[in-house]
Amino acid sequence: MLYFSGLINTKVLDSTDVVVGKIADIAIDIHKQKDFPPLLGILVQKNKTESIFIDHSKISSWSHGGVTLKNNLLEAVSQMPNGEALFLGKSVIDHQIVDLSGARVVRVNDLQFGPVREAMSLLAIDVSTSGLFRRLGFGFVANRTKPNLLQWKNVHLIGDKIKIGVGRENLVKLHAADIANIVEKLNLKQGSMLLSSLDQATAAKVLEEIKPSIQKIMVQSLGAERATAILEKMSMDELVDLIQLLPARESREIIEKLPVEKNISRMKKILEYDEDTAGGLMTTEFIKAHMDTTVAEAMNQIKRDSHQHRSIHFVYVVDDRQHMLGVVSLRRLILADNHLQIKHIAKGIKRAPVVNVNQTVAEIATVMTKYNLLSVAVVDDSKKLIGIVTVDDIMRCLVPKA
Amino acid sequence: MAKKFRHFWLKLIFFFSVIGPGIIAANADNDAGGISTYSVVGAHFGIKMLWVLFLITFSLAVTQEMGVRIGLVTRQGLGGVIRENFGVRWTTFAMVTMLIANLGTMTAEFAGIGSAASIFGISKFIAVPLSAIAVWFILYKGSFKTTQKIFLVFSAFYFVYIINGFIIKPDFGEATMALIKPTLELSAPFFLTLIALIGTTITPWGQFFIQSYVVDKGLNIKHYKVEKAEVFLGAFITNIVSFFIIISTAYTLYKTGVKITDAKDAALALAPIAGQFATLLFGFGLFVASMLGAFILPVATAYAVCEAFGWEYGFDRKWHEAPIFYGLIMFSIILPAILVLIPGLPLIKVMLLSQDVNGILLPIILIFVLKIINNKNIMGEHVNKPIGNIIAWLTVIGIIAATVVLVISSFFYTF
Repeated sequence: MLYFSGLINTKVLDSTDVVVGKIADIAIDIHKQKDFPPLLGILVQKNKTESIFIDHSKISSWSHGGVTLKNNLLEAVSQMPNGEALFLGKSVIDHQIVDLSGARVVRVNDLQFGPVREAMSLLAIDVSTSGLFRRLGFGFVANRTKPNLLQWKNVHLIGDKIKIGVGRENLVKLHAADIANIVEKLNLKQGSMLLSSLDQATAAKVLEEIKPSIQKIMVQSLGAERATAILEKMSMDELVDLIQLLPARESREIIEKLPVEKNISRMKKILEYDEDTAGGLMTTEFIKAHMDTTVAEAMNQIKRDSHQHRSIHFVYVVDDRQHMLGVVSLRRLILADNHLQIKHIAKGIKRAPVVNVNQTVAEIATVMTKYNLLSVAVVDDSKKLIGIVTVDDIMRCLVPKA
Repeated sequence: MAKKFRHFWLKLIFFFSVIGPGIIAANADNDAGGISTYSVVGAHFGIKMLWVLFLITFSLAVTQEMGVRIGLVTRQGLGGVIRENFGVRWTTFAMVTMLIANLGTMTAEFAGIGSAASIFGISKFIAVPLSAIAVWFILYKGSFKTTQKIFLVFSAFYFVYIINGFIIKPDFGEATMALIKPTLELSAPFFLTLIALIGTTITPWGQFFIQSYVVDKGLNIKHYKVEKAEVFLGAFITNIVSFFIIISTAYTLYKTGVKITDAKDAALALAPIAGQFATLLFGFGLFVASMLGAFILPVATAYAVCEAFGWEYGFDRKWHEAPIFYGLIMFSIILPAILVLIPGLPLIKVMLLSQDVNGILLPIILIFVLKIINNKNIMGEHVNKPIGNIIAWLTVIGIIAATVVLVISSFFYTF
């Protein structure tokens, strides 16, 4: 098995066994093959000042004792690769990467190479302590301990622009909450780079899951322009919470940039309420219907608007002046005949619990637990429906550390 | 009027909220090792070393500022930056250096706790294990940040020395002259104390601590000017305190020829202000200072090592997720505590010598810092200016020269 630690700084010999230099770095091709990227070539330090690149096709054998060229040095000198090359010593070894299988940030200790379809390729990334021992020259210790190897396809590089593209498709397969944990673990620069490398919808979900203190810094480091693009994809309640964290000038800047459908008057309404009350916790985005809406119409509305909502558990029934009249659970809606009107299947206001906008977290939690609700309607003093509180908002308050 | 009053409070709150890395790190410098070293400096050599203190105030400001700048630019701790730019071997070297220095300082903290306890008539065999357990328990279960703040408030105790410094009516003219007029004594004890003086003021762990602190606080380069001012202020304040500890002992103990062999001797310097309560006051101050250091050091050590080697770390991890992190914290509490429990150990000497270890190892860490901060690939436009380099290199050279003289002079000296 070949290791980066065994190859770096070893001799490069030409076909007549004359030492021509030593390996300064190894480059891989990051575009050709995803699972096991083939080696593109090596950077050879000829003397103190001069280094050259040698393409993999000019190399006849690889070993920890040294690399042998097929021919003489003059023939082997190749053009320095550009875009497609990633120099492992410069930007992978000793750097932090995201281990997608474990959803955590680790440091690269060593790299493992081997032939794949006759081309020398990067087989695995060693992040274990045994890799550290090998680097330190204690190979005998390393051989006794179990290496912890990651596959190239299961990692995400963090750092400068070229690296951010590697492994991105796999990153989005993680749950937003796991990506959020990773972002929290990274430094600010890397974190915001990772966040802006995601598509905006995913980035918004991730940002929602990041803990408030880091959220704030993150938005500030992204700048109003880029932050707004992500923020507008966030749900209303999370967005309001976040904007409250920001200093006045920055929040104004962001509010101004937000598109009109993120209704500013609604946002301001939430901003008026105390953070720990139903008003502060609620989101103003929910599905509502009138008494004479048909089931089919309501279903269509859900299908059409579902992308705006994080979760939909109920359809809320209101009159023309937005007074709460009742609720219909999603289950009832699905089971009901399409031509029926909502009033035939709705639970009336007496059987549908609501909370007042000024009620506290503990009180809301009690209501939701008692009636087994995943979300509860919030009404103001004149019984107007102004928002809903979902169970995840409550859980966030009760178990803030998760 | 009411409005103005509220405004004043707001201002005060703002001021305390910006008290950050610079002042905390500088204040924590006055830990057990610091308080005893400054006392010994004054008691054994009078005001002869004040010029060193004057010079290293600049060194402290400059090196801490460099730590802040590296943190702001790289957004990583010093351990991580060393690892990414020097590879595994150099990282191991740097980490072992830091570990030895920090274990030394932890030993000083427990020695401080032991000495303080003896003032109150409590045996070190009771006080040290109890404190070690308390430190571990609070770090593991409680809030590190709150505890840190509480002890920081207690460490306002040092202002006693400033008042004391005025009460004893020292010759300020003479003291000011001593600040700028270099005096050397070519003896091993002099150089041993001198290196301890440097090593307790500028510390390897302080370098790691300040950088992690700005990274953890999520500051970025926009905050540079504020942080720079804060670091300079911190260096200035901490050395004002050091100055007054030295003159307090210089104009009391040195005058009467008292050599400090245990904490009670050092406490006598506070007699002018506290009278018969001097020993109690000193005991309290020493205990608080030692505990503050004992809280910060294990965590700073474990963070740096784990960051550099890529092991999981942080108090939000569980034992089985971050065994090395918790293991290191435990190790750097237990080993020093056990060392201090060796019967008959001269605790004051332990505190002084641990600062020598710090001082002698400091150049290694500073050279890493200098290499990093002058690297354009890492720092971009924020590389060091010549003045910073000159002061830092002079510090490094000064310590190395002092160490060489110490080694040579110790051949001619029988301890």
